[in-house]
Order: sequence, then structure tokens, then C-alpha cells
Amino acid sequence: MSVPQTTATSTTVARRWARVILAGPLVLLCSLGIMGGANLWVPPGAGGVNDIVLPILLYPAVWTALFFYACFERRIGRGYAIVGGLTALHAIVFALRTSGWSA
Amino acid sequence: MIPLSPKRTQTMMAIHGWAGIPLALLLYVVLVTGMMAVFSKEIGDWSSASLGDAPAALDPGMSRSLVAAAATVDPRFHEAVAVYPVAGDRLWAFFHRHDVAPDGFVFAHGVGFEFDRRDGRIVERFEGVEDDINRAHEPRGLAKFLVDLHVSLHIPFPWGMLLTGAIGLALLVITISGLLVHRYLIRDLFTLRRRVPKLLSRDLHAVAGSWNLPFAVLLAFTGSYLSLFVPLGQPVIAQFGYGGEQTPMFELFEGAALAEDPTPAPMSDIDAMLIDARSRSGTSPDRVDILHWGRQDAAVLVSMSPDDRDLRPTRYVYSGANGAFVAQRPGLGKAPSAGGAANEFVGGLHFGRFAGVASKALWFSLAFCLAYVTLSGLLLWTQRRQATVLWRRFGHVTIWVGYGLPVALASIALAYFLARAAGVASYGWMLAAYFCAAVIAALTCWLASDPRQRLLAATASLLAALPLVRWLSGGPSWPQLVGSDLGMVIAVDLALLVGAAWALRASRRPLEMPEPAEPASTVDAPAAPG
Repeated sequence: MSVPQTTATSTTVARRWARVILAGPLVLLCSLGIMGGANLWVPPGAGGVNDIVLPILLYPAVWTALFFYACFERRIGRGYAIVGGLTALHAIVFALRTSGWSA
Repeated sequence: MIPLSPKRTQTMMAIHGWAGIPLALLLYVVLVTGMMAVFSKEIGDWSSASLGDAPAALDPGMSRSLVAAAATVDPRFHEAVAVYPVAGDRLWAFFHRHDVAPDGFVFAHGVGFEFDRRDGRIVERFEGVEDDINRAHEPRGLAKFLVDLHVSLHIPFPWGMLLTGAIGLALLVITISGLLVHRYLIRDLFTLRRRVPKLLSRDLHAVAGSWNLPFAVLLAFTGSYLSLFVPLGQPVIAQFGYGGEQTPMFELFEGAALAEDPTPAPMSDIDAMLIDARSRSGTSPDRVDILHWGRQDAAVLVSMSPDDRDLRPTRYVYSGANGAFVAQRPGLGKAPSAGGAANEFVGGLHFGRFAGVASKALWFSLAFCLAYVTLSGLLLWTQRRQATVLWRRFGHVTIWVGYGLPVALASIALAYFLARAAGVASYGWMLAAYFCAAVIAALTCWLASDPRQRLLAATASLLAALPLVRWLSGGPSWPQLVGSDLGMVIAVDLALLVGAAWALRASRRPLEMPEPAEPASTVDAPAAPG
């Protein structure tokens, strides 16, 4: 009887840590990537500053939305896929930008 | 009713508590000092009131002062000049250039002047980095100290602002999770069980928190934007869009007013531009910025205070070389835009600068309420866990910060006036007073049987003493102020006396807290994550 209980407990602890890592460092990385990447896809507007101000302005909202999503997504694998996918997408945009590509 | 499964409610409650606990004491400090920051201009005027018949700082007459000062300044600091009134409506001008620090951040370096408004002569001259100069300029010492405590907790840049930004994000999480854990939000807005004193403190926390939810979201959102813009937003955007350089972004913010022409040219009459700007907007100027002083492409940007119907200031651009009106510009960028407007709204909304003293008083009251919610939440949380040694000690720390902070803030003001009377630099004295008060408050919590009562009594004594010390250390007396346009100084003195009476009254009332075994209110009790 004790072996299944130990397995269940260790699985629960592992799932909790997986969620902490998702809602903590990964969400932080993803939100920073979205803020930086948005500079490339938000139009600068007539004043020439929208692509700088709006991504920073929306950063608290983006981080908070991703944080709560990471806390409440029932399927943690899907949470990793979505947060990781968004991070990867903006990492690719950053890599293309630093290699000389422009939109 | 907000439908959440029991498991989700438990998770949300854990988030509400555990997001708050690590940063809640700092959040409390930021909220209380934020209440002061709302009235930073009034605190500056109160602590350094200057009597005497003189025109307002940005009235016509300052042009000759600027020209005389510019002649004494290294031309490399003619890149930009910021002119604005500081504490007691003193005229301040800062000739500067923007340098890039090794860490990539841009900072202003130059020469600052305070002018006598009566005859235009230079009263004081400082040279160095902008932040150091502002700290050394004694008349605004107290207001700047309090604002810096709110903005960065006096932790060096960028770490202090990153920390206050993180506190803003934590407040956002606490607020949203607090909203979702209410089983009966509407009922919680009105539930106060006055006949059960030990439940009243819990109900007050829920009621004050529920009514303040929109304001808390507003403060958290705008505060984290303002704190994170420079230390986090600018570097990240610079990495993605500008090859790591932040300077090109500053050029976009300024929105180059005139075509580049470095040919030397004398400055036109700035007083005439101020008169023209007044006639265009119908309001008074807040500040003047001059780009490329003494060049053919010099631009004078006059920012006018917003009228009663707008949060955004109006900004006029003039040619510095010939005095001609060039254009009306937004505060940020070369043309009106969503980003520029949002940036201006955020500043006005965060500090309640949109309806004069009335909006500031409202913001002060709401921030006071939020500070109460934070402190009462911490006290309730630790009270429920009195059986655990760690939480019992954390409860003592909460009393120390919660009731010791007002003592420390009042001590800072006292030290400012004493330093001024002694004729020494006030910054060191204020810092020493802050830490001394913190140590004395800690000893009180350690040794006294009822530290809350003693700390509140100490706060009352210090607040009551401040108007007298202000006057004895060289400030104007009430009879002198009655006939002047500085009635606001009397108002602040009276507010301090009212605060002293309130603190004294509170010190005589015991703090009623629920026992750990009391039944839960309509708000789910805080619970450790399961």
C-alpha cells in the first residue's frame, strides 16, 4: 500500500513544481519576449512612439493574464505548449531581427 | 456570486495569500509613501515656503536669468535645458546633456541653477548628475526623499524601480485573486457585523478591500508601468528594435522639432514665447524645455497645465532662434498618438493630478484605505497562525512595519527641519532619522507589552510637533502666512494636527482581532496551499 501512496505524492510534488516553473520564470520570459517582439509588429503610428509605449503599457496586463492562465490551466502540458510556443515565436522574431531582417 | 469550484477557490486563495505575503510589507511602504507622493508639490511648498513679493516662477522675466546662466555653463551642456518651478515656487533650470552609462542606461549630466524670482540673480549653482543635484538642492529635500522612497525605496537604480514594479504586479495579482475568491461580492460590500467586535476587523478588511478593488487595479497597473518603463521596458525594446541602443528612442520621444542646424545663433526672447503660449491655451505654463540652446535649430517647448476638461498638458513649440511659433505638439512623439496620450493619462491617473487638490485628496483617501487593507490583511493572516512560531514572529514584524512606518516618516520631516536649522545637508540627517526610527520601533516591538499603542502615540507626538518645529527652524509663522498666497502651508499644518489627534485616539483603542477558531466571514479564510 505504501508504494502507490509514495508514487502519488511524488507525482503531486513534481506537478506542483512544474506549475511553479511555468507560472514563474517561463511566464516572465514569455511576457518579456512579447513586450520586445510587439515593438516589431505594433505600428509606430503618426507620433512614432506607439511601438515603444504600447508594449510597455500592456506588459502588466500580459504578464498577469499569462500568470493566471499558467495557474489554472488544467492540462499543464498544454500550458507549457502555449507559453513555450509564444516564447519561441518571439525568440525567432528576435533572432531574425538581430540577423538583419526587417518587417 | 462568482462561480469557482472549491479546488479553484482554494488555489485562488493560496495565490491571494502567497503573492501578498513576500511583498506585502513593502507594498504597504509603497502605498503609505505614495499617499505622501500625491502631495509632493504641497509638501515641497510647505517645507520650504518662500515669502516675499515675487512673480510666479514661470512668469515673464526669466529669459534674462537663463541667458546669464548659460554664459557660465560649458557649451556641451547646452544640448538641453529644463526649466520648471520647484519647492516654494522657486525657479530652477538644468542645463544638461544625455550620457550613456556603461550599463546602457541614459542619464542626464549638467549644471543646475536656482534663481531669485525677484531680481533674477543666481541663488545656487550645482554641477553633476541630475539625481545627485536634485538631492543636494535643499528646498526640495523633504519632498524628494519621500518621493524616492515611494518610487525606489531608496534602493539604487535600476533595482529599486524593478522591485516597486514587481510590487505593482503583485498588487495586480492580489487584487484579481481577491475579487475572484469572494463568494458573495455584493453582500461583502455592505457586511459589517458591528455587534461582534472580533469579526468587525475581518469585515472591515473585506469591505474596504471590495470597495477599493477598481482603485487597486488602477494603481497597480499604472504603478507597474511607471516603475518598469525605464529599467525594464526601455532595455528590452532597445534590444529588439534598436540594436541595444536606447538613445534613438529618446529622439523619437522628443519628436525632432526643427531640422538639424548647428550654426550658432543667439536665443530669442523666451518671455515673449511664454506670453504667446498663455494667450493660446488660457492656462499657465508648467515647464519649459529648450533643445540645442544657442543654435539655429534651438527649439523651445512650453508645456501648459491642462485645463479642467483634460488630463493631458498642451505643449507649444517655438523656434529658439527667431521666436516664431512652430507647432502644437503632444508630450511624447512628433504627432498625437495613442501611445503618447496613454503615457500622459497614466501619470495623471496614478498621482491623481486631474482636478487639483480635490482629486489629490480623493487619491490620498483611497490609498489610505488600500494601506489599511494591506495591513489588516497581514494582521488577520498572522493572527490565524499564532500557533506557529514563524507566523507569530512575522506578526511582530507586521506591527513593526505597520505602525513604525508613520513614526519613521514623521521623523524624516523632523530631521529635515533640524538639519535646515543647523545649516547642514539634510539628506544624511533624513536617512539617519529613518533608520534610527526603524531601530527604535523594532526595540519597542521587542520590549513593550503593547507596541502598537506606543508607536501610535509616538506618531501623534511627532505629527503634533512638526508645525512648531517648522516655524522654529525658520519657516513662516501663521500670522505671516495669513496675508500671503501661501495659505496652503497653514492647511498642511492643520492636516498634521488632525492626523496627530487621530493617531492619539487610535492609540487608546485596543485592536480587536478574531480568534483563530472564529467562524469564517463571507470571504473565504486565507489558507495555505494544499
